[in-house]
Parts: sequence; C-alpha cells; structure tokens
Amino acid sequence: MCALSRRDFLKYSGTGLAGMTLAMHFPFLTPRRALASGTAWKFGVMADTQWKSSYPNNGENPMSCAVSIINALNQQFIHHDVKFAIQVGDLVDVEVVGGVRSLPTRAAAAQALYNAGIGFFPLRGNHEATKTAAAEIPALFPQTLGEGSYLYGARNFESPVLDITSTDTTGERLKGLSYSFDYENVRCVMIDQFTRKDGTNYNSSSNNNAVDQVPWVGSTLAARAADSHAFVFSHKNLIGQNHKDVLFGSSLTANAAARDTFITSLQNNGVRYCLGGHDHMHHRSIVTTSDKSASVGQIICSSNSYKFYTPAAGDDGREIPVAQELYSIGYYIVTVDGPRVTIDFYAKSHGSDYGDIDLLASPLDMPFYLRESFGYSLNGKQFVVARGNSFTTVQDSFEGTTAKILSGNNANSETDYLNRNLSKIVNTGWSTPLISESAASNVLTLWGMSDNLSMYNASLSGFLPNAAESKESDVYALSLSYDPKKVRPTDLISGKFGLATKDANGSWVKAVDANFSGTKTFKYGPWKSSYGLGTYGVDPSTKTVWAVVNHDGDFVAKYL
Amino acid sequence: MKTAIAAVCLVAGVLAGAADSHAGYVIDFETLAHSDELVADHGATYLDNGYLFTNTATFEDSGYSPSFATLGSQVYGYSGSTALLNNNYVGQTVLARTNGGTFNLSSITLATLYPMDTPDNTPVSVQFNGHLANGNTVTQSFTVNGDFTAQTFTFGSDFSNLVSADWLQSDYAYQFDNVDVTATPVPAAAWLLGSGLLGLVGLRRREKQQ
Repeated sequence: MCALSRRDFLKYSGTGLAGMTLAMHFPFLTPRRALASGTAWKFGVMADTQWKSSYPNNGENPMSCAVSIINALNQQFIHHDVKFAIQVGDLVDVEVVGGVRSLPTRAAAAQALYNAGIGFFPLRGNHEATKTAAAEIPALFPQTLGEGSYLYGARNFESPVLDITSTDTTGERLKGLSYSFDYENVRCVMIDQFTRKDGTNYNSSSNNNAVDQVPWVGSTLAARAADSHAFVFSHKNLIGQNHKDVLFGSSLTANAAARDTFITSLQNNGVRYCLGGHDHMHHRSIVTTSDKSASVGQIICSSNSYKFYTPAAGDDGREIPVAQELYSIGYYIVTVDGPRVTIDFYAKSHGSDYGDIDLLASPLDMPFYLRESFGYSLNGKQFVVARGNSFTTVQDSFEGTTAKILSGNNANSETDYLNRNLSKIVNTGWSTPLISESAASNVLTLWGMSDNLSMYNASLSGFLPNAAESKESDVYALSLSYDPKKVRPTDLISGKFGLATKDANGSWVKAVDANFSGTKTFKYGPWKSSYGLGTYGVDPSTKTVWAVVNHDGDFVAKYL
Repeated sequence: MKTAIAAVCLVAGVLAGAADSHAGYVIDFETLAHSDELVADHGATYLDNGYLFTNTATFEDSGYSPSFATLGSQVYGYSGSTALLNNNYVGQTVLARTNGGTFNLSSITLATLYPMDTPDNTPVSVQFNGHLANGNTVTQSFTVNGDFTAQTFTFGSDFSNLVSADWLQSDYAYQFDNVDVTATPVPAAAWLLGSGLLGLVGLRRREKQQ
C-alpha cells in the first residue's frame, strides 16, 4: 500500500470526483522538451471569465460568471498537475446580479482546484473594479494576503505600501489586491489597477493606478533570488489589440514615462513575460519603451468568456508582433525546469462556427489542442529574427558547448489580423545531461523556431482549432560542439554519432528523424550550404555535429 | 670437447644474429580480418612477430580505456585491407620490440577513416617520432589524403636502430597498415656471438702455448 501525501490525496480524490461528473478531453501531450532536471513543475494561467447574465445559460454560468468554462479549465489544470493557477482579472461580468454579489460565485468555482491541492491567485479586472470589490477580493481569496488554507506552498506574500493619506492611514489600500508571492524558483508579481480599498485612485483616475506601483514592482523584482524567474501579471496590457486602454492609462501613450520606467525595470530584472487579459484573444509580442532601449515580452491571454474580440488598428510603433490566435478558448501551462521556462498555449473551439460571436450557451465539450510552445532560459539568450532575416545570429555557448545556427531565414509569411509581419523570438537554454544519457555535449533547448501561430480569419469555418498546431519550422542548419573525449574515433564514421533530439516519447533520436520531410544523408566533414533538409554529419576538425532540420526542441551530441 | 662447445656458441651466435636481423617484416594485420559491418575492439596492445603496438591513451586524456580497432570489410570506411587504428581521441601508438631490440622502420601505409566531404578531401598530417638507442629522437611527417584511399609512405634512413616509434591519432582519424620493419642485432645475440668468438680465440691460444 502506498502512502499519499495530503496534497496527492486532495489532488487525486478531486480528480476522481470530477471524473464522475464531467466528460473531459485532455490534450495530447508532446514532451519534445525534456524535463531534464527532474525538478520541473508547472503553473497555469487563465483570463477573463465573465458571462453575460442576461443570456440563457441553463444555470451553468450563474451570476455572470463563466463557471462552465472555469470547470473545464480546472480539470485541465488538474490534469497538467499544476501547483497553482493565476487568473488575470474579469472574474465576473457584473459585480451584482439580482441584488446579490457575484464574486463569491467565482470564488466557489475555484474549489475544485483547492480540493486537488492547487492554489488559485486572482487579479481584478475592469468588471470588478469598485471599492466594494477591492474589499471583497482579499476576503474571498485570503491567499492574496498569504493567509488561509489554500497557499499550497506559495510563500513570501507582499503587497505595496503606498503613501499615507487621509483615507488610508496605513498605506495598505492595495493589500491583497496587488501582491507578489514566490513558489519554488518563481516570483509572481500581480498588479491591480482598479479602485482601491479606500475608494481612491492614483492621480484621481483608475487609469493611473499602475503609475505609483512602478517602484514597488521594481523593488520586489530586484529583491528576489538571482537565479529565479519572475512573471508580471495585470489585467490590462502594455499594448492592447482591441482595447486601447492599457495598463498605464486610457491610451497607448498615457503615462509614457512611468510605462517606460516599468518596461526598463522589467528588462533589467530579467522578466521575460508580462501577462494580461482584457482583450479576449491569444496574442504575443515584444513591447518596447518609447526609445526602444528596453523591451519585454507581452502575452495577452485567450478568452475564457462568452465573448471574443477582434484587433483594432492603431499602435504607436512599439510592438513587434509574434503570434496571434483569435476566437478560441485557451489557457496556458508554464513549466519551470530550473533555469528553463516553457509556456504551452492550449486552445479549443468556442463550439460554434469559427469567428467572432457571443456565446449564448456554454461551449460544447470539445478537446483542447496544443497550439504553440515558447520559452526561455536564464542561462540562454534571446534573438529577435524579423521576417526575412537570417537565423545565423543565433549563437550561444554553455560550459564548453557551443551552438550555432548555420543557415536559414525567417521565411514565415503569416501575419496578424492587422496584416503585420510576425517575428520569431528564438531563445536558447542549456542543461547538463544525465550521466545515463551518455551525451558528448550539454543539452541545448531551442525555442521559437516553429512557424508563428496565426489564426484570425473569421471567414474560416468549422470548429476551430481542431488540431494541434504543427511544430514545423523553417529549414535551418544547427551545429553543436562536442567533447571529443566522449566519443571514439570509430563512432564518428558510423553515422550513429551526431545531433540528437527528443522524440514524442522523450527518447533521444537523430535530429533529422524528427524532421517533417527530407532525406537522411550522413556526411563526414563540415556542413555545406548545398546540403538539403535531412543531411547531417560530424566534423572532427571543428569537433561539431550538425544537421539540417525543420523543428526546434532539445538537442545534444550523442551516439545513438 | 671445449672446442666443440665454442663452435656451438659461435654457430648459435651467428644463427641468432642472422635470425634477429633477417630481411624486413611487414605487419599487415590480416590475422585480424573480419568480413562484417562491425568495428572490432582489440584492446590496448597488438603483438605480431615480436613487435608490440601499445595504445598509451589514458582515460583522463581520451575519456575511454585505450583500444585498437579494426574495421570489418563491410564497413564503409574499410580501406581495402585490414588495418589497425588507435580508437582513442589523440591516442598515442607506440611500436617496440618485445625483446628490447632495435629495429628499422622502412615504410607504413596510412588511410583516413572515412571519406571527408570537403572540396580538398581535407588532408591529415601524421608525425612519427623515432627514438634511438642513443637517446636521440628523429621525426618525420606524412600527409594523408582525406579520400580514405590507402597511401604508402617511406621513412628516411634515420629511422634506423630505433628502440621505439610513436605517433598520435588525429582529429580526422586514420588507420595504419603494412608496417615494414627490420630488426637489428640485439645485445643477447651479440653476446652469444661474441662469447663464441672469444671461446675460439682462447682455444687457439691454448693450442699455440701447448
């Protein structure tokens, strides 16, 4: 008989109960990236869950809260074994329905997570922006104060302390609304931008409420451990797509100085992603300061609501679009594996013909699909490769192993809805292979080579997305140096020693075996530009293995 | 009787010297031939007719225990004749006689391990070091084409009376074959021959005195 920890007991018993009542579809997992350290863990991110209270909902989405979607996401989070989930605001559509406060309904819908031993950490959105909601959130979710029974390992809770005023004699009017907390090697910083507990707003408008929090964000980011990750969450975005009211004001250019200080602070403190909601679409981009001296990745999170938005023209030239998917219901799984972070975006159809609709009923029970994966590593580098540009700028080294992309261009012709070209954000990361893997190099993780996710055309038909997005990338040649002491000379000529990658089962295979097409051909000598997809080889003079591939993932020099 | 013993010594010495310095011997490794698609491991030493090849690579330097290998005739890198190769990264091969005798190194056949896909068939340079009985060292380098065709190289006359010779495996690995060696007289044979001659001289003096 095996003993279950309290956490495991809660998790599996919760799963079992859920399984009795719900028919669930779980996405097919493709573990191309290894969880090499054995200490990898996950958290989930979801976005706006408001539901139109006037729409018929058969009781499934009460109190203007999309409980049916929340329940589906809860099961996904349990399935992925996340440690906690974050929601970036708009928990309900309206705060009061029939004279009754609606936020308790949202709080109750988190119970399945709690029962599974999973924490839940919300932000407010503009749909619960009042002074009343400000007081309500820490009461309904005491974990935002670092209190209660549902912390599940989250620790070091801290809220900003603002100046003392006549309405706030302790400076704690954001306590439990804006907050930061740690879990393992991650610090999450949550920024509330709505009316505060004392009924005030910074500089007399809720549009300014991020401004006086910039110093706190910077200090809490800077105070974390040097080898840790940090993610910043808010409801509104740095640059909205449909909405032009953003984190720092009612327009893209509002409070520009504070915004630029904020972005610079995030960059200087190693923050790669700033996540928000509000726009009800999946959208990724790089957002810069006015002078483009600093930047940060932006993730606008997919809808979990009855409604979906379409991007509207008008930006101020500070955004580099990367990926976009409209009119789907999605969530995010963040896998933290030591210095490496991989974010998987899963989405499903909203249950009607593809396009911008308002759901009148709970979405059909349809499967979620892995739509895109991206990530970074604290021990790697990031490269922004614009459309048409070469990948050969991608070069990185780690403890004696050097990786270089030798050829290939960003030939992706997809755009976003506004017909903007999409850039590829290529990230490198490194891990040390297990001794049992008998590798001759460190393990390179390469993110961002796959063709950009781009699904926005409302004239498409059917229940979309209806499949996992292809991971096929542009064709490129990748070389990796190896330690010649870890390979015999006769191994080099066999074609069995070369660049390896992980297959869908997590086993090492030849990198060219994971190609989407091409012919496998072994060469003994350096890579040549005439080599086509599937050619691979080893060059003893430079002590490198190389391969012409059309996928990313984990790579190592290894005898197979 | 004593005359007979001295004569035997003389004959033995002459025979030993003759055997020790007989015509050159070519070490062709054909006893290791295998007609398969495998790389055969032969350990750290290979002995043929009193000539010992030793792979002196260390685990610290090469990451593996020292090993010589041969390619089966079905392996793509097979040069057309069974050849030995040092199967360690920059592994050193030492050739010496087991009896401590000296030898002349006349020629050797070299072939790269695999055809390199480079415009110039990237040549491989191999340096041979010959260690003389007087403590001096002679060197000679050969350049092997990278097309893995076998090429025979001739050593200079200074590669004579060697106590040992050695050479390193290179990044672009190569195999060696047809090692042409000639033993030169060793101290034991010379002593046997000398003692026989001295015996005969002694006997002749005694006969004169008598």
